[in-house]
Amino acid sequence: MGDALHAAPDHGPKKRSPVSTTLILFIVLAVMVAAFSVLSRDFSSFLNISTMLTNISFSGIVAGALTLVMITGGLDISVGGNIALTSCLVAYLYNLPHPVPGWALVPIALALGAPIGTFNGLFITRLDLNPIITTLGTMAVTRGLGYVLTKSRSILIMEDVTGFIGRTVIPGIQIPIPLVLFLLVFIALFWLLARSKFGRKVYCIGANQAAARASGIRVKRVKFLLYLMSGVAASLSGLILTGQTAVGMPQQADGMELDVITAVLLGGTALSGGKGTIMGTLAGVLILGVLYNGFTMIGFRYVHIRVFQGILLILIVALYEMREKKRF
Amino acid sequence: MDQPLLEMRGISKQFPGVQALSDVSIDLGAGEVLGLVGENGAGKSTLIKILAGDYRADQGDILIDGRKVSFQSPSDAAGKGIRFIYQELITLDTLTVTENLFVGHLPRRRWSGMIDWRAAHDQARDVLRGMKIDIDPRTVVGDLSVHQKQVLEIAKAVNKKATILVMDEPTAALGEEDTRSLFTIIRGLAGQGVGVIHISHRLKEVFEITDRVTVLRDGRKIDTVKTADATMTQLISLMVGRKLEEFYPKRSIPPGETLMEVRDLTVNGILDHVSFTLRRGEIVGLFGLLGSGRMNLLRALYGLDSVDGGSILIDGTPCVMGAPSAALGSGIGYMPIDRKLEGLALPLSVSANITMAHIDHIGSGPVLNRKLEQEKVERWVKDVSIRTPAITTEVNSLSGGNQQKIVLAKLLETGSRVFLMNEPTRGIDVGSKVDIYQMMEMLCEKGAGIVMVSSELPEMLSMADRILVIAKGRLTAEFARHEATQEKLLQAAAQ
Amino acid sequence: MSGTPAAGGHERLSRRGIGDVLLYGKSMVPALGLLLAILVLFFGFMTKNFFTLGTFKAIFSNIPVIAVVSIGMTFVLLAGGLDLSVGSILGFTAVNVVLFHDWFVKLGIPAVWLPWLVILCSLGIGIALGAINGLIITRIGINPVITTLGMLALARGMASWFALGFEILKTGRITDPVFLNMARAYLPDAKTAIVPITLVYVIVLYVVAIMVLRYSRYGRNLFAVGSNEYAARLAGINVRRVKFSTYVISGASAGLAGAILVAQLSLGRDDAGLGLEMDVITAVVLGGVSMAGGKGSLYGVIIAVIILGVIRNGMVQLQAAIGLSYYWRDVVKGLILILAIAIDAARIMATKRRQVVRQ
Repeated sequence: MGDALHAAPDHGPKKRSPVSTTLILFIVLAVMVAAFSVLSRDFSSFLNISTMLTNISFSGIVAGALTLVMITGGLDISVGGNIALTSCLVAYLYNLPHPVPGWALVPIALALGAPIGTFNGLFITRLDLNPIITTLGTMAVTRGLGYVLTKSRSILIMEDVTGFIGRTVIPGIQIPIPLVLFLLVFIALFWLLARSKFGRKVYCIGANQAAARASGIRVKRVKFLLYLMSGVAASLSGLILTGQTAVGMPQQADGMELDVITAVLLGGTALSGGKGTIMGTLAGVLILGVLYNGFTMIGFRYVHIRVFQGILLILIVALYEMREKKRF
Repeated sequence: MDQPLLEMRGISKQFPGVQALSDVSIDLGAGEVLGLVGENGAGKSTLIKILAGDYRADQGDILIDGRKVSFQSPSDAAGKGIRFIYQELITLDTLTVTENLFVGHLPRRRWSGMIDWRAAHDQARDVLRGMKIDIDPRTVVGDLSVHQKQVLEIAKAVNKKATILVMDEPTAALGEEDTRSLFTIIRGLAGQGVGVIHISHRLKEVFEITDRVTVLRDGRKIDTVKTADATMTQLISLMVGRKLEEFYPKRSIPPGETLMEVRDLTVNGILDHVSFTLRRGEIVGLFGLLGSGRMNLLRALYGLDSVDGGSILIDGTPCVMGAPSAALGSGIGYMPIDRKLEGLALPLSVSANITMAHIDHIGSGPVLNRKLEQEKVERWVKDVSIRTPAITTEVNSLSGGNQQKIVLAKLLETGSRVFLMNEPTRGIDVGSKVDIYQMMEMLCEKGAGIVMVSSELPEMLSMADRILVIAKGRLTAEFARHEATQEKLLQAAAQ
Repeated sequence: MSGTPAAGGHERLSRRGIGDVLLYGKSMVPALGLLLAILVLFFGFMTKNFFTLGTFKAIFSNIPVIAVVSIGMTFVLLAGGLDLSVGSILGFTAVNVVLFHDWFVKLGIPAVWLPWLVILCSLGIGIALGAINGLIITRIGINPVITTLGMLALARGMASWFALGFEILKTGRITDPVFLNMARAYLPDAKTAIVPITLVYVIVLYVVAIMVLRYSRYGRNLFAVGSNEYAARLAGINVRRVKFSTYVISGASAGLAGAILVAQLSLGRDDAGLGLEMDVITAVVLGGVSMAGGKGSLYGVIIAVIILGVIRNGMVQLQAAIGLSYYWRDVVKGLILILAIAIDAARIMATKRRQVVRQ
């Protein structure tokens, strides 16, 4: 005796779905790109593709880091506020009576992500607080600090280094720098998650946190590092965004949390944790980026897209949920 | 001849790989207290789950007052007047006693329909007084002691006109005095015609409170005897069978020098200055009843639970305590009692599970060396006889026995020298049990030491070199293998 | 009988420290009352005009929206759920209030009926959206966070969509005095204006809600579901229906608050209620409603709402007095939220520690 109250009997062997989700997602992506190219001539123009990919880069960097957080069952809603604060801080420092030079702005901006991520990480792992509400609070704190810094105004920053990061296109191959950074981050995260010991620990924690702890994995430390990474990634994204828009404002990236979470969920990461891949998130980010851009090209407005966003989020989760249930 | 209040006839139930129950029949009369005893894995919990409507029997019938019934869900059983008091109490801890008693149907005033709290508290007081219990009904249940919560559950069941009460190890967490008062309550209920099924490992108490006892073993009903006519020895031999199973390996390794020394291990309110030693090549058995603290001891040694006092020395060096990673670093490994909860990550592969406790050592540097991982895992699969289609198979799809062997392989991979095993062969088939026993013997040959918690007496008596008995957080006795008997163990455990 | 019940809350306050009161005390109300007093004194000391009727009026005309929505959020949290969409539901309702009002005026409906009709409409919208939340969560079984997050985007998007599509929303202000008075009138009358009528609404709604929670079977079932869902189900409570109802109530309260807001501001913008969910969750958790469910009372919530209102107004006055930027308000709000859930988590851990049992 002494069984858990509802210990279920062992299950028989389960059937595995032969086709990988990621593959399906990329097929969907290809179909979408083809469809939009037909529907709108401007869609496939070089300028549009370039802009679209640049925009995808911002959310993609954040989505990548968030994927690891969500695999362990956590969440970080504060990314938008983080980006806003980074942009405000950079612009503010540049416009001081003795302006901070460009080459110093970059490390400062990246360093901002560390305390924010640490703040999140400590409260969530040490005090065992609900990640959603905690990062909701951090979002308010960071965005609020952005408002305090800029007194709610937008501050221009026409600067070389940040401008380089945000707006330059590598001549010849015509690839925007933001996209390069995005790809670098992605490759790093892919390697981290799929090949490194740390990544393996992340998957273990997500699959069964109690078993991971009983296996000697330092769960609190790993989770803390993930929130730290999420913070730094958001700051990086904020830096690039500031360079691209040449402005620092506290309204930056408002509502971005929803996009990023949707992209990660679309890519196959389950909210309950344990599953998810970087490639999946890549597909998710690309699909969403193409979708929003395509819709805009064929005439939908931002508000329509917002409505669609909400429905899409629920649909995605519902679909994955039903697929899980069918397996049993 | 009176119709029995409850009859379960010819119940059989099979799970993948294991026949949990074969043709089990029990009957319970009104006003009778029936004891249900048996070893771990004998089928008691499965039988009760079928009665509760949590499982459906493959064959057999349940009759209440002579009429056949069928339960689709737990509320069906409740509807027929069967109430269960489990080890894990189902209370609404943030609400008061009154609310727990009357949840869903608090008394209302006639005209306004508003809840009449005064009447509710008064009625609650009456119910409690009727059962001779002295608790203020306005107390929040979360503030009550375990015994009081249990009594509350019983009161709730009685209030809902239970005709059959099933109590699962009710005295596990109780002291002497609380046990007395519980028995008084049970006798009172029986006197009112309620039929009580009393499941317990504590045979001394079974003799006190029951009218008849049914013994289960290996999924079969062995016999039902009148308590007044039976003796302890008779009961024990029915429970464990006359012959000890012959598949235990010969334990022939002489223990070596001291490997681990535990000094005055204390966890406030749970363990009280526990001290013992473990030698190389030795298996020390830890025997105790539910509520004795045996599991807490293992968890404290491994750092899963925090420790308030005491120390552990491995080969004379003190260990850092407080986290599993520290324990592993000192060479202590742990095999949890519930592999699904703490032992395995079910959605992950065999490979990932076996290496989970040793990730940092699979390859140098930050990269996980997959080739090395594959070699190691394939070796373990062979050495521990794990039956799986591939090492990438999801662990969830394997049988219980293989899952347990994967947990063992994970433990072996860590290269620990001290192995803490919490019910290592619980819920698995005979073939896998043999494999695990042989692995344990091999570990001892290599100089490791094992501390094993088991509630299966034959297993304990065959495998352990020494058996420590724990009761109420303290070690009460120690027996060498040749002097230990089932009776001595059970008596020492019921202190 | 061995072992006396550890009647935690019955011990004399003087024997325990602040930490004990906070962690083990049954109700947060005494602690909150103390906090409110301290804050009032602090702001009174630091600023010039704090203890005036004007301050009182300002604070209590700002509170109604949060106060009303907090009732709904309390119901949701008590049953163990979460609703992140309340701000957007309010925004969508606000937009529709203007549209409906305009339409009713065009239909020629007498002005005296308008407030009632508009309230009916806003309740309807809130109930509809809340019901959608509830259905998705209880029928399809999707996590409340995702569901209400999706509704957040959906409702806000629809609000903005409407705002783009209808001219009146861009420039129109509601000038109908009868309607506006619904939220702007003072008691006892226009001259000796002391008590804002919205305060009366809040009091009435809170009294009703407190009665429902304390004296109706439905209310007690709510607590049971949040306390231990399995036990509640065993006792025969229709858990699904209870949870569904909480989301409907949450939507309804957001809708009602939307109507009040429009009457106060005389316009309904699509950004109404932006960020409201954070304010409301802060108020509710600070007020002692546990995120784990099954515990909490509206008495604490209303004090917490007042506390937040005092802080808000206090910071405005602080800016005038010592030049502290008003924009610190969001930072403070965020920190208070985190502090509130930290205290809640500590309380949950304290009770868990007492439950540890030998195995």
